[in-house]
Amino acid sequence: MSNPETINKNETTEIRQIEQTEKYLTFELSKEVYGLEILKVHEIIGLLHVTRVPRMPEYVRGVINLRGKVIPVIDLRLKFGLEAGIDTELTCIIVVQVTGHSQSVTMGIIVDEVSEVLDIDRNQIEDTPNFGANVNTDFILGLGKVEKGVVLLLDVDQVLSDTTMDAVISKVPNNENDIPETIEAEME
Amino acid sequence: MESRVEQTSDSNILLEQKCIKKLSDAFVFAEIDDLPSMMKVHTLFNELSESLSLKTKPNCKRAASAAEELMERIVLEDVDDSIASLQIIERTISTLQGILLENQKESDRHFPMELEKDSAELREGDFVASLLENQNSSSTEIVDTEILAEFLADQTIVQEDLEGWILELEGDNPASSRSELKRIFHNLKGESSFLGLNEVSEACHNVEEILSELSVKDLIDPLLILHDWLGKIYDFHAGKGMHPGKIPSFIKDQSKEILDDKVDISITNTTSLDEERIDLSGCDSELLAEFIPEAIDHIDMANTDLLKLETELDNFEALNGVFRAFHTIKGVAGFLDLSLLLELAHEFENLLDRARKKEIVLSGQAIDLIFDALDMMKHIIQKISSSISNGETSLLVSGVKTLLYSLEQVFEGFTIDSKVQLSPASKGKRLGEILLEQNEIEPDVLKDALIKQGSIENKNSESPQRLGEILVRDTQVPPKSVAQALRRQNNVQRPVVEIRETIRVDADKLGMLIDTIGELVIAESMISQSPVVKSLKSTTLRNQLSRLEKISRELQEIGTSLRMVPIRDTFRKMARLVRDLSKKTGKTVKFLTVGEDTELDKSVVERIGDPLVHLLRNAMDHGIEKSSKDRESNGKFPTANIELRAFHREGSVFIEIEDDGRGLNREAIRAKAIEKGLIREEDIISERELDRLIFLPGFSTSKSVTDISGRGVGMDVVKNNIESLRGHLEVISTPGKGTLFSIKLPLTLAIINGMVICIGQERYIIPTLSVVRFIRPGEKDISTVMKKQEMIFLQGKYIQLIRLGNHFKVSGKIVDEPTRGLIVIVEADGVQIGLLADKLVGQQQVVIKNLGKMFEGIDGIAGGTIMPDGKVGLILDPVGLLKSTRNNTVLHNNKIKEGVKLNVQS
Repeated sequence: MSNPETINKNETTEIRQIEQTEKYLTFELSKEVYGLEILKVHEIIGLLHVTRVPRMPEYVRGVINLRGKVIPVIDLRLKFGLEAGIDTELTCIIVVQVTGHSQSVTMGIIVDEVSEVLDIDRNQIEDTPNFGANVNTDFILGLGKVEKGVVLLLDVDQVLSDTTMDAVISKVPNNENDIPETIEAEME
Repeated sequence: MESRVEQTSDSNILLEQKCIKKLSDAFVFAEIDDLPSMMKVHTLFNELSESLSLKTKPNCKRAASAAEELMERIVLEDVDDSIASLQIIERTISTLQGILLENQKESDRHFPMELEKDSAELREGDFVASLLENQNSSSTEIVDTEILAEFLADQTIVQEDLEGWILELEGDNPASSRSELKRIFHNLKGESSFLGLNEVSEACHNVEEILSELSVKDLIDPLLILHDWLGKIYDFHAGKGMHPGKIPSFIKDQSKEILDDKVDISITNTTSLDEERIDLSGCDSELLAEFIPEAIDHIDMANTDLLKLETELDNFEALNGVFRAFHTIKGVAGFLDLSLLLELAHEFENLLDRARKKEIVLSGQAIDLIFDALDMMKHIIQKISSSISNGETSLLVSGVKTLLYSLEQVFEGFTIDSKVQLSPASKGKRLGEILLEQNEIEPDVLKDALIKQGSIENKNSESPQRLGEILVRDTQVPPKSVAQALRRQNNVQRPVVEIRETIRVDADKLGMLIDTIGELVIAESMISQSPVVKSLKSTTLRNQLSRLEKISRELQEIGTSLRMVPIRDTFRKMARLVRDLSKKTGKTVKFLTVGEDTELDKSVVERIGDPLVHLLRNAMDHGIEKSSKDRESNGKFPTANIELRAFHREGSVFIEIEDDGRGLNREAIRAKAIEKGLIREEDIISERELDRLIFLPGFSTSKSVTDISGRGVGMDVVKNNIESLRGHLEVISTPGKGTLFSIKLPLTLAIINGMVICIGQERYIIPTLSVVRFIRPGEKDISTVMKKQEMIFLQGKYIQLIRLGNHFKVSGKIVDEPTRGLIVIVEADGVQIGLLADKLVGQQQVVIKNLGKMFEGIDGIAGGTIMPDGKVGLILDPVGLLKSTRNNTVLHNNKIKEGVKLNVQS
């Protein structure tokens, strides 16, 4: 590679190679390592008080006050159908900027622990294998191979648009079902 | 994937429905003499026709665009019968509603025939021709300096946009910039023609035509020339710079036209050319000698008359006197062959003649000019006189052309003063004081004049002389300066438009600033309240902390005040409206505004306009007696009074509209209410309750529908609008004496007063405005319906009970026994409901924050807020709560209206 002739010859491939390394913020969820494009990440904050918003799906933890702005926070464990974790000192909120259908939204995602920022070569990323209906891999861009093992690369835009849709859907049936239910429960 | 495709077509339908809803709302508020509202309807038709697809709803699309064109013609007054045309529009809207909202088939509904006819005519091109004709024939008439000022202020941004898009034409996407340019010129055309800037509207019209025809290359240069020309025109109207001359014409030879403009400017600009030689050789010197003293006498008399005219605009005798002077001088000058004097006298005679015929009312600017003309004539005559005595046969006079040119300008830009005037709250200074301030007279002179005025002869004479007259007669003061002082005294508006300098800031940036300030305040209070800091005994630290506290509180005040604007502009628009209505109805009205400087949140000011227009319209049409005779027979002054007030009280802003007209006709209201089945004949209700019935939908006691009001959609819309601003509307009426509408508004939409309640570990805020009371019921007061719905018996009524804890699925330990918790009775949509909570925490002012898209439309939550401890609290929306629990049950007879949601701002 240090040979100038080679560079001249393979100029195009060289450039592509530079572009191919991308930075990912990695974090842990239930001992699994996930990666998030660093460009999407605004900041990482410690877990603070989350106000629950009623009538939302369970994985929507609620809202927090981010320097005067109210932003939604979702619990990725619950979102991915993992068992609910216990908040520890390492639990934190990654504030991400995601692009939905039309506009970009700031939201927080709760993860077990933030690990490090990794450079992952494009060559080292594999498409997500199809595991069949049992495992929903819609939110996974691909699998990054690194020294320590595998990093699940997250498509955070997909997570949000899916969440927004869920929220809309969950509201509709709720309206009709839950009132009789709760009242009956009270009466018993 | 399939579901997503469906969603887009759904969203299209949603867009259409939203559009038609907005349109019908806008139409309710649109009034023919309120241009912005008419333009709004026009724009919405445009939006609608663009959102409709030609495939699925071709007829609707066509109808919408035809209606758009018709609206444009109504605005430009190019229809024979605007009322009939508006009715066509109304029918079109209702047909569109039928199709778009009630899913009727297009083929089942028919659009008004006239609409199609109209648009057919339109295609033949008659309309365009007639439009051009119209614009050329009507004289330039600046409508209202205030509205003009606003327009001009906006234009700086429009100009920037314009330039940007013109340059963008060379870019990658010329088609989009072309359509953007079309939109800009189209809007500009409408606005400028309303403001009487006919040259601008004509230019825009021309451009609109050539925009789609010419190639990009041919387009850019002419457009840039036009852009610069527009800039100069705006500057000219803003009182800066000269008139740039004629419209640059693109279709003809461009370069020639530009050259013409330059010549035009040089003539008007160079005063050195403005010199005229008067040849006296042909004059009979004897006759001339006789003419001179006579003319001077006439001029002096005219000066006195003109002064009278200044304060009493309708003093016909004085006007005649001035006219006579010019007429006589013109006659003699013609006889003596003094052509310059003849021309000058003739032109001004024309002006005065028009005033005599009541075609125009002489305003301050015109009167100034007449004074100038009188001075000029005097100057010429004196010069002639000295020339004669020196034995010269010719002389040079300068400045006449300039004067005549300014006269032309006055003719063009004539402002017609009307009977209705904005009376300033206090008139204040006296004439003498003003003259002194202007250094026009010495104190001694003033003293003498005052003594003369106060002398017994003057007081006893039949027509006591006024101070101004005495001053002028004794030639101590030039009449013009007295006139100017008089005008200042009367606070007549200056003719030159003043543009206030402002900076437009992105609303998001402003929001961020305010958010950050809020955070700062929280952080500050956290530090100063923290036990660690409190335990410190340092006086310096304490002083520094209190300084910090003071600064952050000041910052917070400034932050909130950033969004506050005075209500002045809105009030001015109302003055205009009253004036127009007064002309239309023939009722003479004195309109008084008080408290124009009262500041309100910008969003409130923007949205209070429509309700005010409605209320004023009502006051003018129904409130005030039909004729001044009716008033006199009731022992009132023939001129009616309407007062518009704004003031702060009890932490709210009040806006009141009071007229001294007939008051509400309670018998008619009662009869109407019985007819509509709202009350029974034998019901006894208080006058207050009776008066409030006018706020019900479709309630109009007016027998005839006029074009001003009486359609019966007014008051309930007004009430809803005000309630959507979290305000309150009240009416107080005394039969025969007048009516008072009082609007109570919060200072800002972003801050509300709330009751903080607690359910388990969670806190919620209920807007204080909707809280009726708190109760703790006894066991016997609670009953259930079919084991599904609980009710509370309160004051003879059953009220639905909602257990907030269950409804919101609050986890943990909550109070589940109504008798042990706290029940908040709130009013939502005119219905009372009870909300079960654990306990009341306190009352608090909170800043409403938008929760964002993800939480949009959660029934029962109106928004969030940052609590003093820095955590987020949720604000309840009683209307939404009611809606989410109601299902299909009809709880009351009235048709349930769209819930008035709290307006959440980010």
